[in-house]
Amino acid sequence: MELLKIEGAKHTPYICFDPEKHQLEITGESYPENTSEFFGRIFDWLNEYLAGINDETVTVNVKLYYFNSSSSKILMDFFTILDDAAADGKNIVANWFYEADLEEGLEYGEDFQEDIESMKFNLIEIEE
Amino acid sequence: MAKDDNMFKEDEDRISRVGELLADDAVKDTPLYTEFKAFLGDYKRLFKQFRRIVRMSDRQQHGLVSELEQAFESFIRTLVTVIEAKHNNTAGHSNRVTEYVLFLGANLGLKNDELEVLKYAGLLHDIGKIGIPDSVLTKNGRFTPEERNTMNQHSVWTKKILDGIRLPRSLKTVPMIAACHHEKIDGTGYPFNVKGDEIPFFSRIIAVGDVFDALTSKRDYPKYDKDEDLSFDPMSMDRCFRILDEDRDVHFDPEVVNIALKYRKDFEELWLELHRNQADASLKN
Ligand SMILES: [Fe+2]
Repeated sequence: MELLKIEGAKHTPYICFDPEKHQLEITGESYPENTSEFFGRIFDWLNEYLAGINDETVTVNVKLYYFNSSSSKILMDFFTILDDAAADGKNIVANWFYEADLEEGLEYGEDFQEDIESMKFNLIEIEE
Repeated sequence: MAKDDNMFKEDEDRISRVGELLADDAVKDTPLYTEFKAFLGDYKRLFKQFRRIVRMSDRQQHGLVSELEQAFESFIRTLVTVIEAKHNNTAGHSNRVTEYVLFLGANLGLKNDELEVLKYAGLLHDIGKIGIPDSVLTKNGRFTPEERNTMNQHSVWTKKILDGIRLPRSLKTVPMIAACHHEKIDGTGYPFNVKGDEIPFFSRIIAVGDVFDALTSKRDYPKYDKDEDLSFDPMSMDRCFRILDEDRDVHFDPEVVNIALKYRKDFEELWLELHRNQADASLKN
């Protein structure tokens, strides 16, 4: 399994999915012109990766403040896939990071957390 | 932030009605029942997702808009501060005028969106002074008629400069309002020599705030009352309010002057607050 790395750009987030360290990171802003095209390959990667792991602890770090509606749909699907895998017995911890001085960051985290059932989903405040 | 609870009430009721129908033993165990039950499950999940996406998207829009508004306002304020900093005795003028016109505007019953327009017109009314040569702009003492003429061009410059900015739709009237801050109600002002209702109402508010600040703060130009030359120093409040009172229907809009006089106590307090801050700031420097 190869490392999946996409450098951040003005309207798209930095993505780094590391299959050796079992760390998945999404950071930045998300306004892709074509959201499903941009995120398409991360789902292919993710499904293959999840099928291949056993009881390793997978850490998912997400730090996003501005994202468009289709990105929020994609993120919900992303967390749902991880949550389903956790329900299947995989060891997955998701961390939603938000900046203390940006009021709504915490609320976004809570919104994403809402339908998570099996996976650990932490809301973590960071100083910026 | 708007709550979406009521917006989706009907859809929620419908989902629970369908759920109740499916709970009836009579309809169980047909292929259609099984399929429909699964479909309802997916539908519920999507519905919840949709609600959350709408909620988040509203918050995102609100966040982006206010971030842009804040960036715009702080940019404008900095621009004004930078331009005025060049000229020591006018430093803070536009900012104080803005506070005065917002005070007058609020007491005249203007709505928030109107106060926004007034705020930017107040902040930017003298921006055209950047187009006036320093020899005139920073002259100590009375202007010659030629210099006066040059100086009076600053409101034309204000309009030219502001017309060049792609302002948000809600601020489209700002350049014209700012350009008319030296018009007088009797038509003897500049640059368009318009009178009465031909002068935008917000310009008539700025005229009062502008003169009030010129009279009550230290300026480079000696103050005049009729033909009498006065000092550079701030004028007494009594004298200042008398000038506003006497010049209604000549220079000022009587409605605006009435408000200034009616709320004189608060107006003076605002003056004190603005000048106290200024004193604090100069002590720190
Ligand atoms: Fe002016």
